[in-house]
Amino acid sequence: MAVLSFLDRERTVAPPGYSRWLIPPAALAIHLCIGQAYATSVYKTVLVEHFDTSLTAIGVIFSIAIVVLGLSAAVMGTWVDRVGPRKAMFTAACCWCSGFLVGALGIATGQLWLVYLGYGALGGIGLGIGYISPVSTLIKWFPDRPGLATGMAIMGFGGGALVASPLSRDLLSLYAPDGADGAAVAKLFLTLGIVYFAVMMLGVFTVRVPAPGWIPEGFDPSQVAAKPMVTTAQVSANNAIRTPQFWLLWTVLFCNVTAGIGILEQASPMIQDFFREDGDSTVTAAAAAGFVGLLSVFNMAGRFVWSSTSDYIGRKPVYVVYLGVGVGLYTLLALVGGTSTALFVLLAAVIISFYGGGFATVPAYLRDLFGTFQVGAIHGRLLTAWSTAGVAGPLIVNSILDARGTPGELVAADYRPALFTMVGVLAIGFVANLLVRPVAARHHEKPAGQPTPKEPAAEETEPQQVAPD
Amino acid sequence: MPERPVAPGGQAPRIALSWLIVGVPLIYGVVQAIRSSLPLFTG
Repeated sequence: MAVLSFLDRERTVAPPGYSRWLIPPAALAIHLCIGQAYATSVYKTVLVEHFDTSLTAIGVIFSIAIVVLGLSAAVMGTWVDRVGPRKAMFTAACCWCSGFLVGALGIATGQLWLVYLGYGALGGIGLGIGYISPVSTLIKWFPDRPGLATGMAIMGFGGGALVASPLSRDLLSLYAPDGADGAAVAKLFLTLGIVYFAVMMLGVFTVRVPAPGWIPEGFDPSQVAAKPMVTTAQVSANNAIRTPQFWLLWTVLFCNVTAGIGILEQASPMIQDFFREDGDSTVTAAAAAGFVGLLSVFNMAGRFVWSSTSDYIGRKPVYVVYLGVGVGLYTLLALVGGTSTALFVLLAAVIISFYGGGFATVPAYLRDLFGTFQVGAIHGRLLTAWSTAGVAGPLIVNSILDARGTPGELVAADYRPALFTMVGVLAIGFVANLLVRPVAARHHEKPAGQPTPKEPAAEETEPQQVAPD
Repeated sequence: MPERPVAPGGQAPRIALSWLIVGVPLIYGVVQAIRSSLPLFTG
């Protein structure tokens, strides 16, 4: 359609002199909006009452969204790389925001399946496309600091929940001063759908791809080529999933997310249970809710700080820290976490910062191993690890805790089996990370002039080089 | 048709506005989260 031709990749190539510092806010505009997915707890109980159903049935809305996120990122990743970030971000905005509108209709008419379809399926597609679309663009704009670039974008996903939680609470109070009901949540969905669409359009109209051959001032690409774990070769998404490196990184991400979710899911009852004496906890419900908020801040900050740090110490070493130090911190949490609230909070906060850091650093790790050719598509396929961990993590922790009693009535010792299981999970991830080596030359794309790859390149005129194995 | 080069100084207001649009909500979220965590330290 001619009217939508402004979305085409060729219309988004940056003119000479275009500032790359306009791209991070474009990426943040998308991630801040889709990060709302982690703020569903605000209206969960209202929906349970409204639909007269179980907490599990309402929780399924979020589960569908996260599973569809992974699937759509995996399936649509190649398309995202082909059509460019503007069309992809526009599609993400349409899906994510119409998901809210369909969800609002479902709530207003009492049809839960419409909420599954809207927020869960449609919104989930928006989540998947929106999550990966700005990341590969940022990597291309910041070849000198890819960790900083991906950290800035993915920090927005963590920040999205921080913004959406108080905003949703305030809006619900405005729409229903006497107590939130289904109608208030429907109005909230309508409002969020409209507001998020406007903010996401900022990203759509600002984002640009660098012109072929563009490099930032003062950047020497030969410095990148000199690093042993950073390739200047290019690997297609189809070839990437045939390499052991992809599956090792899949395992790394899966283990890091599984362990982090183990704490995040149970954060509020967990801190109360850790400091329970004679049946009563010394940590109040308000303080426990504050603990959850504090973890969200560390989750967001970890994405930026640790991912930026990886530009200096390297991607593999930073995952050694996430997983190796994580093993130590989980062990300390299990053994001495109950001795002091301050120690418990400190240990959990650093663990969650590693969880966030793992998300934000992985696109830069992929770029180091597979090049920028189809890094968005490869990232999309890797996100199936997140979806899998999103199901496996809570399942592992909940099944272990269920055997001990009910969270909210347990004591610190009841959490030890779950925490030691997570130590084992992190240890597997640690070994997988140590096994990562540069990708073999046979998986690299052919140099320019030789037969071209079947799938279109992210940057069609990007030079394709083959580095020594 | 190739686009005209962008003047280096001409983008500063646009950069500032873009960062403001995403930065203000982000700061609001962080402040709210820190405020909610105060009971953890004050009892």
